[in-house]
Amino acid sequence: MNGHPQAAAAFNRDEAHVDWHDTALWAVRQKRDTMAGTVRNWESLRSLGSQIKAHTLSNLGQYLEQFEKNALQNGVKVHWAADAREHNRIVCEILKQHKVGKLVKSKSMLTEECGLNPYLEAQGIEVTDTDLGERIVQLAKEHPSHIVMPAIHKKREEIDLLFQEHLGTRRSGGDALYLTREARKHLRQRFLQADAALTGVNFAIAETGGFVVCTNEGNADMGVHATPLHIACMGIEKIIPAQEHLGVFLRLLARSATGQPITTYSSHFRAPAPGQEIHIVIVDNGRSNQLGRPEFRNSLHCIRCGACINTCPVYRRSGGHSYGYTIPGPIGSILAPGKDLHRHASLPFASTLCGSCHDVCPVKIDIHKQLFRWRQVIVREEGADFFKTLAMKATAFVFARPGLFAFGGKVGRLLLKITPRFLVYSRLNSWGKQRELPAPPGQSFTEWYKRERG
Amino acid sequence: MSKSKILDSIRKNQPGAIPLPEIDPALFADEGNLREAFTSVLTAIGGNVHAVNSPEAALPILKAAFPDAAKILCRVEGIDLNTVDPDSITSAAELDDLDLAIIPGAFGVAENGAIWVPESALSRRVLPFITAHLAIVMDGSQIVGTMHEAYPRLKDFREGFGVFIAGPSKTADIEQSLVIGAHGPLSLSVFLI
Ligand code: SF4
Repeated sequence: MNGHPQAAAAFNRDEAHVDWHDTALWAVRQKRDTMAGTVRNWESLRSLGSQIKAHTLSNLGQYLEQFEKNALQNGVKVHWAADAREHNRIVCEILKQHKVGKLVKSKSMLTEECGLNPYLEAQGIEVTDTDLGERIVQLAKEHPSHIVMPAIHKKREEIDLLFQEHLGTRRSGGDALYLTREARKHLRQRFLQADAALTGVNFAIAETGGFVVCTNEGNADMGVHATPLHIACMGIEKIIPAQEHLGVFLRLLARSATGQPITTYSSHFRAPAPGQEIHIVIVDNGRSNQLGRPEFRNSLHCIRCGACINTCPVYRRSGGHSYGYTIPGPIGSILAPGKDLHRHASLPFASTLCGSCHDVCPVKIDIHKQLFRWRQVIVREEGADFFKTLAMKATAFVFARPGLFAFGGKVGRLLLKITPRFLVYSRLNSWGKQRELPAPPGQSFTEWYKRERG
Repeated sequence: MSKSKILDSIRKNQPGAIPLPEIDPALFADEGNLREAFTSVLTAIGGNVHAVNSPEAALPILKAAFPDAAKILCRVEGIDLNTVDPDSITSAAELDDLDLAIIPGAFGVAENGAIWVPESALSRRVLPFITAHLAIVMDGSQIVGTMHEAYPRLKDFREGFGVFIAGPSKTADIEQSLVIGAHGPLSLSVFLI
């Protein structure tokens, strides 16, 4: 069993690049803060998002059935997949029925999770990822390292070489404008030659049977409207009750993700265009199990904005690939153990528990607390041997980096000061239950030491 | 069958009923001039906003901005720039070399610069995405404050497709450098009447 610490150590070999990665993601986090600050009653908006999701999960069965009924009435075909294998089989069958040789895809973390691309390629179907970042990692034969910025781990020089090799571009030293224009030409051909398009789903609306797909590049729409067959794949948790709830989530999503007021395109699909077919594949793949774990349930609130990833001091300095799971970072670290506890046992330890993820999460998932709860489960289930090896190494990764520790500590002390007593002394904190925590010192040892040394 | 298997598992695992909160748009409404707010947000996200008195007044501005545009598809009455017959188009590929599309927008949203474009405003769904440059003409009085006020307007919307468009297409996937013009239009001009 390999884990986060080993992979993170590999990423850390290129110091300068790690610094860039760290700074670039922090800049996105800051843009998010600025944007959130311009919205009146942002905190109430987050609460609404969280409450709507909690309500939806408590009625999930009914909303899914309502969604299906309305979608069918709109002339959309609906499929249900219990797991990744069934999802892949269904998608492949639809494509075979339509004699599809070439498929264009826009971003879908679900199909990544299901391993759809290799499955279809093995069946002789050419799959082109059309989001620029996803195309970059596809050409590099890698996986996305971030759910919103799939190629954030790649340096511009690497992309330059990759495009020279696959797109026949000239050497440009990584000129972003030139490379993007070349990718536009290359992918425009793919859109126009494709037989079908596959997209993810950001929100599916029970009330209307419609669904919304958000992009900045326009790649989802280019594919969908240029081809006669649209397949949209969604996890069961993408449902929202009614159209008015889109108002809440579209306000939260892009601001939290990239600090934009909204994505360039928020496309509302309800019925196929004349001569076109729309198929929706509704996928469980472990989600209904997670629904049955009360202490981890609200991880299903996630709208995949990536804010918790951008703010995470461990992610920023270890890179998305170090997590070894489709969804990296804090949210992935609470989802992955629910899928395969043993395999992903190191992930909940790849954290300082600073709580920054929870602070930025637009749907208020208490990620840091769930990380702590998973640690307890893992220590219980995996035994002391595991704890001595992987968990300690993961913890060592965190503690070996003074920067991470300082970040975690600062926030931790602040939280201790501003968190109501009942939270500090809740059952979650088994230590605090027995004794009063010491008053948080105004400065940490590190800060004191720095000051004393001048 | 998987459907019943999934639904059974969900029903077994979902918690007891949790109430659905009410959304109070007033809680999020900002003071201030909607048209000004809309213009400044849309400009900040890369749109070119022009105030005009009539659709006709957009004509010289478009001509000056796109002097080389050869293939133009216009869906707005009063702007006589069409070089293609929209009804003659039978595939997306025929629009691949479209230089400029001019379409009507239904209403705008001040907080994010988004404009609602229903399918009925387009000859084909692909139109506002495949064109090299996009111009949207809309009534400047049709601007709401936030998305909470936008959706009540769409309560009776029954078309198969509609889209909020906010600015030109963009990407920052190469080392976070912002590039305007990804797969959709390279620019967006908005004419507020
Ligand atoms: S857990 Fe919250 S912050 Fe993280 S991706 Fe999901 S919605 Fe965004």
